[in-house]
Amino acid sequence: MASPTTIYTAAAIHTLDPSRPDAKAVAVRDGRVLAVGSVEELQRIEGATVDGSLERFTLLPGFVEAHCHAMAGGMWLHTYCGYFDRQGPDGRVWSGCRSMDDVIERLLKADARMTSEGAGPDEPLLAWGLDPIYFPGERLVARHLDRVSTARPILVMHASLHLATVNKALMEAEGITPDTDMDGVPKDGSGWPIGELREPAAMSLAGTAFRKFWGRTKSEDSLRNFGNKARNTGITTLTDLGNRESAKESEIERFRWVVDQEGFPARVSVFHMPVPGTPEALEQAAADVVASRGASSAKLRFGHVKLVIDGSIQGWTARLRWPHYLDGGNGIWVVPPEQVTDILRPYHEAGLLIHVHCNGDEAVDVWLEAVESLLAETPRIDHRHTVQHCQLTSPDQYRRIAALGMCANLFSNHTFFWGDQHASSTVGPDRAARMNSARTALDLGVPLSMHSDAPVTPLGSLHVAWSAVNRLTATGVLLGPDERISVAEAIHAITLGAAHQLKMDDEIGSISPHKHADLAILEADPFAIDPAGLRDVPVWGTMLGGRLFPAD
Amino acid sequence: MDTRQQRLPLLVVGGYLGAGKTTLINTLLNDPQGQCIAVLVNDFGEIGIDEALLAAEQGKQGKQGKQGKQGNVISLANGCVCCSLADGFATALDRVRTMADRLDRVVVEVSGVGEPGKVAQWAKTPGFSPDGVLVVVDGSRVRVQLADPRIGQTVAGQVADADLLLLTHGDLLAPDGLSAAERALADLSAAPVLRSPVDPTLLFGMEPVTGVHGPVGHAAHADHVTCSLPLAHPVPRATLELWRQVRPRGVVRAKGIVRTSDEPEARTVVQSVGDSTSITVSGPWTGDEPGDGAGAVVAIAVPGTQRAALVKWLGIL
Ligand SMILES: [Zn+2]
Ligand SMILES: [Zn+2]
Repeated sequence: MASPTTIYTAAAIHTLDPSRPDAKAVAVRDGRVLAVGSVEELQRIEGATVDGSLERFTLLPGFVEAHCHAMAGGMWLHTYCGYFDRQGPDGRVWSGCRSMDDVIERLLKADARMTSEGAGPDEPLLAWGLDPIYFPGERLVARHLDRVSTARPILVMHASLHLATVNKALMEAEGITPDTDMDGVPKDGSGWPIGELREPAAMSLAGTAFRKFWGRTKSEDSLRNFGNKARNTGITTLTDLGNRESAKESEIERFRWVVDQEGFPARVSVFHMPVPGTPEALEQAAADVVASRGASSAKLRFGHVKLVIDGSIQGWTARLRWPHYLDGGNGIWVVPPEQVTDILRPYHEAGLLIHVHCNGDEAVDVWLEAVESLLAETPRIDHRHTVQHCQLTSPDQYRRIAALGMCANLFSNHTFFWGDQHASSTVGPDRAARMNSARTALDLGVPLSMHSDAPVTPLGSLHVAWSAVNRLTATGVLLGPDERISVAEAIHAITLGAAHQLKMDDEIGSISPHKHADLAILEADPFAIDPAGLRDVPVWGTMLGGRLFPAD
Repeated sequence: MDTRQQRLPLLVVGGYLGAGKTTLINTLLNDPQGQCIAVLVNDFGEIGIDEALLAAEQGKQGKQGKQGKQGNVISLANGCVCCSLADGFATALDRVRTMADRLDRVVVEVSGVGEPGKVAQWAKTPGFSPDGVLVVVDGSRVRVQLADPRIGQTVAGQVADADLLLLTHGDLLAPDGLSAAERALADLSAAPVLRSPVDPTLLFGMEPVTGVHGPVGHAAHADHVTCSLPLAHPVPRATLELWRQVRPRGVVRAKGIVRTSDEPEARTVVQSVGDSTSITVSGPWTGDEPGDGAGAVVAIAVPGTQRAALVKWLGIL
């Protein structure tokens, strides 16, 4: 006797399956798609029950976020102070803090809530997301935070994660005084630290608060938030793109304990990030990564690799080809460029999939040269090695990416969040128009995906797709109109395109017989609306493996 | 009060891939001058830190056997600049702090593209004291590296961050090649240039010795020039400031505990590593200090330095 079959009818179903792109119903059995088609077709399945609970909704394949970080969930364990409205994993919308007064107001409430919930006066108030780039000429310092509390230590992490502001109570508790002599601790005219802590060495002076800030991001609650945030945005497959501990028993267990629970609403692919060591140590690490695949389950994947080789464009640290940044400088390498091949060789030879973070075009050159060397030494078919971020990539590089059998995963949200700054300050309007050039990539035959890099920008695939389709900056400037792509192309990139880069397109990414019944359940049809509204399409929730997960 | 118990000297070793950082660290571990050293490694190295050496020389009496093999090499993770600036280095240093009572000093190997000056900021966090930035430079390749569009800026930045430069692979060079390398470095840095193989004393410096009496003395040593001076009378702070500004060429390290006439009840510690000198007031004057009642200073210079120049310099105090 067959397992029960449920036929879900919908207002529209966009399957992303080229032989059956549109449908009205999907039949689900044992958590997988049994069939997709018209209601009449599916009703012929013996013993199937029709479920009309989704009939007002549009169904898409569950979105696949192929570049984000699990710690994105942990940020929501702290108080949000960012400029833009943002929805937390519990569904609560946090309004953006549009002025320094808004920030203080937000912190006053958080302090009062902590007190009412019984937190002791020593328990630090931790906040995140402050982005002073939107408050030109203003600077959050201890004096402002002292208005919130003179007793409770306060740490506000800025959006860049390179800078924190702390209050006087924290400085007193941690011994940050006029005697503190460090580049990252600016002082006022009287010699007192103003409360800014720049770069990690100075930030670590915040002691308990600093450790708690990062410690919480590694908790189980952090992972649960990560999953809930995915569910709220229609994502059914997440990545933790770059985890140094991912081959360790304890870290594998943390993921299994949370993700494999039935109530956790997403699949997660955890990429291993190589840890510095000798060639022999890397050989061993590659073997460990191969072995870690044994801990994979239907919802949890181990066994791919991620390396970072340059910095970020908004931080002026990405490595750019000439003419570099507008100020004439260039960025930094995270590993020596001529060592990239050597570091990755054991992983390539072990048959593993490798994604490399390259924000700047000079970094892309280095990664492409490494892939050429690795393939010359050890040819592999269908490796799908991927350029992550790939932001300033030029057409010659895209041709090479295609020729090498590689993929690109673009950081399209940049156009909105920093496009104005890129045009005015980092690379100028011409190269800003070229950033995340999805049109060129597709025209040159590059398999494409797009990402949020949460927590760098908010988790949410519809916003990512909207950005690639509309290319509007935060101030409404159209940046690089010729690089816009269609809604269909963008939706492909955030579903099947991303699944392909995770080597999961045989099981997710489209609504096709045999694949997991993973759906994004939307309250409007992205193909039927004005593309300008793509990011505003309300998400009812998701289906993961046949189970419904309504959004909060 | 032995301040070393509270604040471990932290030496930063930087330099581009292949310059010889690991060889240098193995040399230090091979001849640790009786000291117990924690090494933090942050590189995809071609060769590893020699673990056998770590096991063999565990340093001073009373410290032996307290730590297992590999107990004091800590591996760091490479950072993801865009994605997170999380707490990897802070966590590694927390581990060092927990073993501080068993250690004399910490050596941090910066990655081949790392910025040693930034890493040196960690030496100012609780539990540590700055012990200088040593940048290792491959004398046979540095000029090519400086001209390389991909890595030139990285190498130049590392050289500019250095308090001390160590030139390696000099043996591979024609005699004029080495001087050309040194000229290239001199354009970027005022730091003294040591040549490999280096005497570890030069890297760790010396403590002013208790109980030295008499006139300026010197320790005989094949590889470097040392002078020490016990002080009988408190020194005006202004004299210290002058002294630090007229350091002769070739001085690698100087250290002193000095009683000043401005603050006679406090210890004033002077420390110089190559190009950078600090003068800090640290704790009360106890009377147990080395020297003839007002402290002592010691200076070490590269081989070939005129001893008379050192004597004259210390004589200012
Ligand atoms: Zn990245
Ligand atoms: Zn990332």
